[in-house]
Amino acid sequence: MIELRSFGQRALVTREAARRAVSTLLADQAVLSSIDLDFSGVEAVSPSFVDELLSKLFPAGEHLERVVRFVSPPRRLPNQILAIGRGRKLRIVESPTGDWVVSRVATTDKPRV
Amino acid sequence: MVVKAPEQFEHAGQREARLPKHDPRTAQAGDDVIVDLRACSWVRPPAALWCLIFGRLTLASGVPFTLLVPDNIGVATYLQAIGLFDLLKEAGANVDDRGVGKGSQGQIGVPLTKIASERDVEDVTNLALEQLEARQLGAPNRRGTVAEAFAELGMNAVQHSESAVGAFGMIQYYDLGSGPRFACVVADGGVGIMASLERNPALQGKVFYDWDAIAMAMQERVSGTADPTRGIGLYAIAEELRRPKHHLLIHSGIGLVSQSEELEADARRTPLFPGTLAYATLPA
Repeated sequence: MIELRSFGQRALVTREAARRAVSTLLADQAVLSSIDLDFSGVEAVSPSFVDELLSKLFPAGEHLERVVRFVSPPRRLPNQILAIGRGRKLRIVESPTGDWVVSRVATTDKPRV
Repeated sequence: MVVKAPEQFEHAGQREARLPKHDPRTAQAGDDVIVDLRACSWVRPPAALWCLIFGRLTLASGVPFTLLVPDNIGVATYLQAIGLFDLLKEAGANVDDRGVGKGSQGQIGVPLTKIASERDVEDVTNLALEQLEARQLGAPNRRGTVAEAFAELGMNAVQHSESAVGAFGMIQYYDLGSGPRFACVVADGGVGIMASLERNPALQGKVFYDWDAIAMAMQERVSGTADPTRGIGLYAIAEELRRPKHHLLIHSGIGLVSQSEELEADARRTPLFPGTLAYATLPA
């Protein structure tokens, strides 16, 4: 479990912050298929931060099977975050405990006719 | 040129505002500019931001700028407390604020603050959360929401505005009798939303008016970049505030879009805002 609060900010809101988080906290996680990010103590997470973070964890053109779990996010999963998922072809759902769970949309799904 | 502000100065796009048509972003050196707030019985945050951006752009073009302080000492003290006078004087404006006290910061989460980089956005947003908590302003989850809104607006300004005078923003808590609320406002003196969108080759020749550009930028994945994954910022704000008792006003160039609790957006032509201003209010 990676504690985002240890990053030293109560608001994670910029793309730059997301890039710093990826480079400093996730450097050793590059090949992991499951990553848990603990947002306990973080009071604000902006869509831009989430978008940038997911762009690094699910790079376009790579088909790494991975699940990223936002544990204890500061709020219920809002439409804005779902929109990020749509744009990046990611599936984002809220678990019964309120976590946000992100994975790639399965490429083996049958195409719509 | 003397610009007389309305007695109840809400924002530069209000219908009774008779603000100048000339654009200080492109103006050549000319006559002194005087903004007269003396008769104002109130000045809301977006109106204060217009004074700041208009004044600093005027000064940047080499034209002397004077702000006449409200006669109403309460209004003058408020403008002093949010930092308007100091930010104008720092840029060379003439502001005779003698006898106006510093006022209380009690309900001001973040006074008018310059935002020049993403790091500034991050720092100011974190400071806002600290200040709101220290002063016990608003519910904890609402502080997070206003902080996120401020950050997205600030990010838009630093990334897309190309403002010669930078961007400025503030967060305020207030209660005018209909329940506690947060106000968050960010403004810049940049190219405006329409020019920003036109940088996207796919949108060139498709946006003809500022109000259309604003409405378009509030949609999902519309941005001035050609990157199809961008265009989250204003959409996210609009989506967040598309609910009862929330309000969003965006004024860019001669266009204004107001999204109110009636859940409908009103887009119209207005007097010029030389850049872009975004003003959000929400329950605290």
